[in-house]
Amino acid sequence: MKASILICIGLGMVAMSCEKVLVIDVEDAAPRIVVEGNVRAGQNHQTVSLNWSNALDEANNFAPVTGASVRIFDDAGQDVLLQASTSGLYTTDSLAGIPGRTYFLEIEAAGERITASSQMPFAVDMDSLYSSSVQFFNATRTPIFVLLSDPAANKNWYRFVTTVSGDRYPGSIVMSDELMAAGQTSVFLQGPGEFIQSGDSVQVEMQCIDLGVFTYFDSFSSLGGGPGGASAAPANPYSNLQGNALGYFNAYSPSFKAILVP
Amino acid sequence: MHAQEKFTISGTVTDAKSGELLIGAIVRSGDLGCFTNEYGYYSLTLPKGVHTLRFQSMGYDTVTYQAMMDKDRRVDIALSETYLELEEVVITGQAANAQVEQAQMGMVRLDVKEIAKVPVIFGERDILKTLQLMPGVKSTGEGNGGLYVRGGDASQNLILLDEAPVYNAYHLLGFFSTFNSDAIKDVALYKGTAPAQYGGRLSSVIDVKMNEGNNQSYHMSGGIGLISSHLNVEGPIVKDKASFLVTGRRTYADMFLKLSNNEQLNSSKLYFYDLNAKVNATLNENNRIYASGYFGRDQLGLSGFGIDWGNATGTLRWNHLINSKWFSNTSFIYSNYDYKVGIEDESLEFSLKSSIQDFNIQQEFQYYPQPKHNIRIGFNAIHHTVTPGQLSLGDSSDIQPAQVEARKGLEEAAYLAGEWELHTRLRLNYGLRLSAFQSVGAGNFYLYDEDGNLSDTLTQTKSEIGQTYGNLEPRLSISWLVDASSSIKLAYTRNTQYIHMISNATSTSPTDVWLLSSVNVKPEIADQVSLGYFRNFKDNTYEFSAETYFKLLHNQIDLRNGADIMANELIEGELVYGDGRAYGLELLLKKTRGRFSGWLGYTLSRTERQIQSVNDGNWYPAKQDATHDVSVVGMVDISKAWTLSATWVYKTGNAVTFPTGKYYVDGQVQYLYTERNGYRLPAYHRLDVGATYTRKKHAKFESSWNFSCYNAYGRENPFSVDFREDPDDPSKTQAVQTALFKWVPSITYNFKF
Repeated sequence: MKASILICIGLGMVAMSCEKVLVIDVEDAAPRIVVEGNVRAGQNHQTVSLNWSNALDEANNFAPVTGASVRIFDDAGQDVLLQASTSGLYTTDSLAGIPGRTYFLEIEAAGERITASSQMPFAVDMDSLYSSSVQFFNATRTPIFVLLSDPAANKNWYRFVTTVSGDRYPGSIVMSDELMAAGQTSVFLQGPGEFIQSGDSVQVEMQCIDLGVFTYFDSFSSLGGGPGGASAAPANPYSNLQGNALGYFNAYSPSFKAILVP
Repeated sequence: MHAQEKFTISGTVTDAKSGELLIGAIVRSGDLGCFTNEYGYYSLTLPKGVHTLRFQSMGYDTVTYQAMMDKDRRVDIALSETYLELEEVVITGQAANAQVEQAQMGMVRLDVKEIAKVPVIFGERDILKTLQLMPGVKSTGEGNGGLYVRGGDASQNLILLDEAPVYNAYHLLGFFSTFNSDAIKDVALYKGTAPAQYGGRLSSVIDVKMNEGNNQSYHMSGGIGLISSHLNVEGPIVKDKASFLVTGRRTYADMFLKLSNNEQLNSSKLYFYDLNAKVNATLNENNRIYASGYFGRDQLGLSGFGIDWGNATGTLRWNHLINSKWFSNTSFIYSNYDYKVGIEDESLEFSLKSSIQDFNIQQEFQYYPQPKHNIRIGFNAIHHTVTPGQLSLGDSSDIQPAQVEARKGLEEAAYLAGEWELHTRLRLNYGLRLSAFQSVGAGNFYLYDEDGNLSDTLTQTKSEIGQTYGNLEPRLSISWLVDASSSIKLAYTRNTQYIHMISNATSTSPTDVWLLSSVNVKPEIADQVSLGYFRNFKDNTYEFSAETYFKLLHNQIDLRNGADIMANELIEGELVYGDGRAYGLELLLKKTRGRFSGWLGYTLSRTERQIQSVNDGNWYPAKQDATHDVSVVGMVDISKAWTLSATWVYKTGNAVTFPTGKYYVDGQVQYLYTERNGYRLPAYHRLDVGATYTRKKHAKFESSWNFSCYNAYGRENPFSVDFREDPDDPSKTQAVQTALFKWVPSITYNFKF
């Protein structure tokens, strides 16, 4: 038997796999409203974006939800109706984000009523950012690490949003302080490292978020909801929205740090 | 009138050439008879007088023995293998019409000689792969060895090797089983219908018995294949009294990787080895002891990432004949399974260790009060220690996760089981098993609210007994002989399970987590009713059976959406519970003798789960649910030298969850899901062919070449289907199927002397 066949058999155990594109006929899900609602501490400009979901075989252009009534109010008497600005984006310049308060979202759109609440945590500052180049699985990666001192007094949840040379890195990383040691902790931002090269400027926004928002983003990774997800039973993430909608409503306290990758 | 005087004849039945004990051989005088038990022992009580006894076993010449029954007699019989003109394949080691006559149903018994001719992947004959060709037994495709029996899942099978449970019965991610056929004597599979001496798992019992080793003369046999080699040595320690057997196997798949130019591949490790050993000694007429053990290990390493896992089992047994009617067996059993996953790189160090360890004591008495009735009474106690994933990061890491506590439990059972011929046409197998579980040992036990959040902590000290469960498990099986060659059988069985496997992968994986029952995790319970029709044709050359079953499963465990099970102290908060149901029809037509032999199996079935938090609490198909399952196995002796064989299987694709839409959130496109397991993978089908050339037998030496091709017509069966952006048009989504093998040829050289 030729050596090549032998090798093939050997490789079969690890890597010999054949891929092909299947034509799969799925029953298209009815379009659903996707909400990304944000109330940020320390400013009065707040946004809620509303878009429709698509069928699987449609292109990735998602239609805006127009003509919606979007209201945000808090437990201290603020109450505003957001204005439709660009298509699908609803904004206001007169809602103060104040840590400690609970914010409520109410949307009426296309016959659906969607509500949510989110409590804005107090800010925790990052101590510093650093990057380090490592060889990992025969490739060079430049992961970014965040150093922070988690206050022991209360439970905290964090979300990290990374921007690499002006481009927002898709997705975000969330972490609960349960996994953090007392004192200063280093958090490894898995993911963006793959794309970061020497000379890039990297900005990290660390958001202090509540449990509902943490659960939403955390369940994305564990449910395998995204492309390449490997869960045996993928499902939609746990949303903090009530009503027939996808997405989240996040009242958070941000802090920023940026570095230039050497 | 006073009752006629009766005397008992008892002893063992063995193979004359090897001294191996024969299981299930028939001992008969007129219409009174019995079978030898799992240790080759029989006991038959007959009226005073002269009796002509016939000792029969399939594939052996029948021995006739005249006995003057005027006192209890001890008679050990050795049977010689039948010499056949052509090497005839014999499918059952049992009585020719056992499937019709015995009350037991939902059972498959494999002769290891038969397995040798069924073509399999890499030419490595394999009992678990062959069992997958039986109706009611499913696999979920390549890269997953797990057996799914009558709607159960892969963790609900009790796989025993000389009575020791084997927790992970697979090597190389499921391509091989841990059972080296060289060392195996007998395999019995009970599809949830096992008698009361077995218990502890819901779906099936796979009872594998090792050979004892030839006590007449020394023998060596072995095989050399492309992927693996194996060697078996056996012989007498003291002729007729004591013998040993040692069998080893080693794969070397990674040797081929060394030929690769790719640095990542040629530095990879990929192999397993296993070792079986057994010694037995007949101390005197009434006492015999056996010691057997298994040790196996898998190594898989790929540039800094490594995983190794393995089982170790040991069994020490003592057979004692109390008198001609009472047989006793005492066993001490040890079983250990552990794995370690590690990543070691310049900057990153990570390892995850886990193990499960059992100590088990088992005592059984078998009582033969009269020829038509035998009874087993026994008890066993198992001490489990489950050490869940212990995570450690390198010394340089700032994050050092807390160590998850080991859990200990005691599982006990007492049982009574009987086989009783009430009437020439009516037979009854009855049994009752009382099982119990106690959580023992020190530890913190957590309570959770409805959403899985920690609500309370109970602390247990070392001497305290924690959560306790008990269950009564009745078993009943009735057969009604319609005529000499056909019967109808009805059975009811309840099984419980106190040790549970949690898996979040699509397939069984060495890193699955085992959990003991606790306050939160209730014992799993299954109730099964089955009804069957059995018929033999043409002097038992053909066997036909049709069995239907309906099974209800309670306290089934699933993961909360998004659960994290690795090294998670609060793992029980990540679980949700529900019910399952499974029903189906299994048809089997088998040709057991002649130049051509084989079988045709078909299963029509449904397996569903109902869990509150999944699919709005509606019933949904379990992943292993396959509506149609066909297997065709054929073997033909075309000449003295050549045997050809072929296997064809067809199965409805596994139930899977596909996205039905997509949306944009958090800076990326995400998929939208509507229902769990609402879609199907493409159907699985495959043809395997094999040919065996046996070199003319010399006086002592025999050799054969085995050629086989797995997946002969190169069907690309789906291993997984993933969704991704279309590389030609990133705005579109496409479904991509990955298949593991197109075709796999292999050659194996086998010899024995």
